[in-house]
Amino acid sequence: MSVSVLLISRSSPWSGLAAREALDIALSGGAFDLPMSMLWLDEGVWQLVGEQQPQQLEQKNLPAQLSALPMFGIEKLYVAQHSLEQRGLTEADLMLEVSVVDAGQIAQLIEQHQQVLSL
Amino acid sequence: MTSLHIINHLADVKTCQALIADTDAVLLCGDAVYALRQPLGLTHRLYALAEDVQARGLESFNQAKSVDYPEFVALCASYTKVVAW
Repeated sequence: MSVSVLLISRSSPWSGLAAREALDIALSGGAFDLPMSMLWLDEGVWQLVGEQQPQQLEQKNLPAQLSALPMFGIEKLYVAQHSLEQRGLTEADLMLEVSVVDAGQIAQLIEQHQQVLSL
Repeated sequence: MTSLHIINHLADVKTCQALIADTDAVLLCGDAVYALRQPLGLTHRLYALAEDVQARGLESFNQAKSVDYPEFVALCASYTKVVAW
């Protein structure tokens, strides 16, 4: 029986390796057909904003790869409502189709999954 | 299914407070133990790593149950799930 995993990405996209590592974990899990869900929380929500130009920093295109998640079978994508609000962001600013969840729903997500990874 | 949430950074104490279920437990370690200086108002079962509390001179503020490393390990093993923030 596969273990359900909730992956919480809390790091901004270009300040270190954490955002990319979260993506790698998600894609690896998807490749092994693990039931994975992904939640963007805190600074992690910056990963999802549109019109990023990673080539300016000579980085790989993280946003483009994030939008490939559903193709790898990772379709349960969530973003924290309070994290968006705190940063003046709305759903319209995001380049990926994700469900907006409040604190209570996040608590439920943590409870429902068998493993929770935060990075 | 109850979880043990391990919090290592002070800023995460507040972040996590709203996101974890009432029945879950919280273990503070590293700089997160500075949160013990003020009343936390947490309804969760609360633990703190003794050596981190003592190292930071917070023993008299300790509202949590102190645990040493062996107890830390035992705690992790006793919960169905461990979430390291």
